[in-house]
Amino acid sequence: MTSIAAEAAAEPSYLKAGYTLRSWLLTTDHKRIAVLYMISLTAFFFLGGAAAAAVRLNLITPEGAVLTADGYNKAFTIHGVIMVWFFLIPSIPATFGNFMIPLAIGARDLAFPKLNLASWYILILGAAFTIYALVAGGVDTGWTFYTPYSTMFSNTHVVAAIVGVFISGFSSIFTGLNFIVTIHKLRAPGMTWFRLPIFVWSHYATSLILVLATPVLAITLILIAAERLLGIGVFDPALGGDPLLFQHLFWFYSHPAVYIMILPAMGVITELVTTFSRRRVFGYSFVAFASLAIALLSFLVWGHHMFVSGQSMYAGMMFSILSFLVAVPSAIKVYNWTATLYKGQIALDTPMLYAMGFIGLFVVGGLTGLFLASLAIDVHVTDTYFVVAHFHYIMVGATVMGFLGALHYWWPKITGRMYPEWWGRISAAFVFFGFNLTFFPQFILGYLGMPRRYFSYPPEFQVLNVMSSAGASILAVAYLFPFCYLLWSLRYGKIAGPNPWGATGLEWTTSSPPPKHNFPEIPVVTQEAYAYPVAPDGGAHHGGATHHG
Amino acid sequence: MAETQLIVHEPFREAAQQREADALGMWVFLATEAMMFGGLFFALIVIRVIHPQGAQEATNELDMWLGGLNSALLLTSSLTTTLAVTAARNGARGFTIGCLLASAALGAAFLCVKGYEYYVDYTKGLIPAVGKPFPIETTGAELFINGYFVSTGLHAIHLFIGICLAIGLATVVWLRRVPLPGRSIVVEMTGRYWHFVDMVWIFLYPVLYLMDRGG
Amino acid sequence: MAKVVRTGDVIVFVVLMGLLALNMAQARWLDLGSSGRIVTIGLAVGQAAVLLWYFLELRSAAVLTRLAAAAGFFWLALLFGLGLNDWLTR
Repeated sequence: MTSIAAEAAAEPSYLKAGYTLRSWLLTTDHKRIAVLYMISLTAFFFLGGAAAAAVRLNLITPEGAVLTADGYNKAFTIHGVIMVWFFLIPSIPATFGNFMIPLAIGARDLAFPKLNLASWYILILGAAFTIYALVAGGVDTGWTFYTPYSTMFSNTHVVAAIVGVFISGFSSIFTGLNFIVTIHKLRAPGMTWFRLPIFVWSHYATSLILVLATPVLAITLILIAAERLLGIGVFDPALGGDPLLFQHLFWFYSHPAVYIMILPAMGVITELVTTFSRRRVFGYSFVAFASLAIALLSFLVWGHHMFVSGQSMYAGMMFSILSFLVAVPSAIKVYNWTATLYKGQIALDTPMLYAMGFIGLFVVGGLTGLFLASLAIDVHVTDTYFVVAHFHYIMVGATVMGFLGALHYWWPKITGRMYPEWWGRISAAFVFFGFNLTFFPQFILGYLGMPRRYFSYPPEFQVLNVMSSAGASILAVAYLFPFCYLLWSLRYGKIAGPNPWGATGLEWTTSSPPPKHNFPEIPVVTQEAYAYPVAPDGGAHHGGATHHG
Repeated sequence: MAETQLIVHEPFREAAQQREADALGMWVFLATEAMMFGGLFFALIVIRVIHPQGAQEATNELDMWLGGLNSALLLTSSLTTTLAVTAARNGARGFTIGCLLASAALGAAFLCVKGYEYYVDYTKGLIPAVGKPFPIETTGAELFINGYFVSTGLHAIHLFIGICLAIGLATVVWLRRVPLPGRSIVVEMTGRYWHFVDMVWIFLYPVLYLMDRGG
Repeated sequence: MAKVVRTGDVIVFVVLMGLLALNMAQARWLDLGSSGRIVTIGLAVGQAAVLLWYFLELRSAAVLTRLAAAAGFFWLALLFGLGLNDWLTR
């Protein structure tokens, strides 16, 4: 122990622990693996974004501007598959969770470092299969791979895409397993459950979903592949199979998967709100348990994706009622964030702007979710742009805002440099504006009856579609801004001290970037997670911030 | 004595912590496996619910005695695995190796019986996409048999992995690369996996071969 | 070898084999009608419980380990309960 401590005290940062490609590709350091994830997920994000750009471009004119009908189907499928499985699912857990959980609980690494590296390689292998499917000619089933279209009719590379998603699932499972064991077994002395940052709680809840839901997706995909290749018929009515069985199994995973995306972002937002209002989280234990409640409830509501697809009326009613229940823990979180702000010393730095944006967009996405949970309204808006807008408010409006907030908040910790604050705020404003311009018109389009996944539409929908496409172009630029200035800051950004935000949390007690073994000595925790106020370390502070106190 | 010989790896501070983490990790992994097979069982049960007649006729095509023999083989292999774990904890190297190889042999015997069953199925025309046309007209029968192939096939893959693990582990114990009792946790974790694969069969056998049999 | 071959393990093995024989016998020679399914599954659950408790050592496991094992079954119950509800009420 003491030898490790002495070693760590003299130790260079994790970034300087080795400069060869080998030292990165064979690393077992959770921080380097997080950086590997960050680089690859950024690439996937822009790939999925390019497909979205093609979709929005096509919808500028009623008859389809640039793509063929087939090309359009493939574009939205690429967009969905890449964004869901290769960006949103791993986004915050695999990067910031990976980097911050050991730091936040006072550990030297995750419990199984080699497994952690393997998770990254598995994700890349899965992505390779999926990208092969796209290059070889694409897939046109939509990200949901609905049967019987995907098993009997589609002439595209469904199996390759499915194999890619199947493989990437193991990455999710191993990451979740690693987090669960780490949070249980590697907390520093004195780090009790109720001293954990909410970020860690929400990752614990996320991990439960990752390990319990993903295997069901795996078996569902195996059944689809077997049906396509061998004609086993489980989802084929001609042999007595039931396509609804596919939908049950698929949504048993894919509905909780939405909470895999949102729960880590909620954890991030809690950290941001408390740091930038200099107040302890209001109702800590409620926020913590709300994460677990959401994780549990997420498994009870999957049938609300099937209200019009022929499941029994009683099942529909049951799933509708259960769906409303999810609103309770979600609302607890929103109210507690708001209450945390009350009488806080609020500093509107870039991460806080993203947090504010998150809360607003999440409320819109969540409330429209209640519309969709109501059987009668859902019949009217099923498979319309209303649904598209609803889940983009959650998955992009909330999760991507959370991701960008986390990126700015922890950038100084990860790289040791500050990003340019002015550019950060401008981009945050552009993201918020561009997002709303893209997706709010889609609520109206959907309510007016425009179905999703059509490459052409009646001319009267054109104005709203052009608005949406214009918003998408603003959003695209707003996403490119951080990409550019963050790269710039790697070289020219101001040097960040250990704790530029004056935040609580163990990750801010070690140097920026942290040494390879995280802490010179394993810390001993003696107080709760959010014991504000904390004095920011003066000299390293960047110019643009407006901290008080 | 086991604790003192155990080497503590990087993120862990003490041996007990590492041991508990390994155990928890294995159980979480087994829970994911349970969920995966669970999806398959769900599909089988749904087929039985919507096509009771076809599923029953399909069940009667399966040989419950060969399936029962296989159940007995796997239960016996679970006993030898348990003996291997106990022996490893007591540092009885030779006995551990013997028990692991016995488990592997019983597993291999299971696969042989299974292969023979598949051969019989082939001669009857039960296998999808190859051989003679499917013999039963009733709706749901072919579907159920296909479900039988997917589930027993997936189980056989898991068992094959288990056999490889058992033989590999016996080898490294023999080479003293896994010192006993210091690293008996490796035998313990392999045993967990083996028992789990057995448990899947404990459910597969009645769901596929026994339920609704008769008529 | 006395300390490696424990009598308890052998007894557990005999119980497992006995439950198997019972299940095969009732499936082959008894016509239990609609309750047959429940009996068949019940005997399998009994076997699995014995296996979990003794051979998988949940008997002496930490609470956390037992919870991890229980979680798997609990979530399976959610899948079966809520999912089958659809077909049983169509």
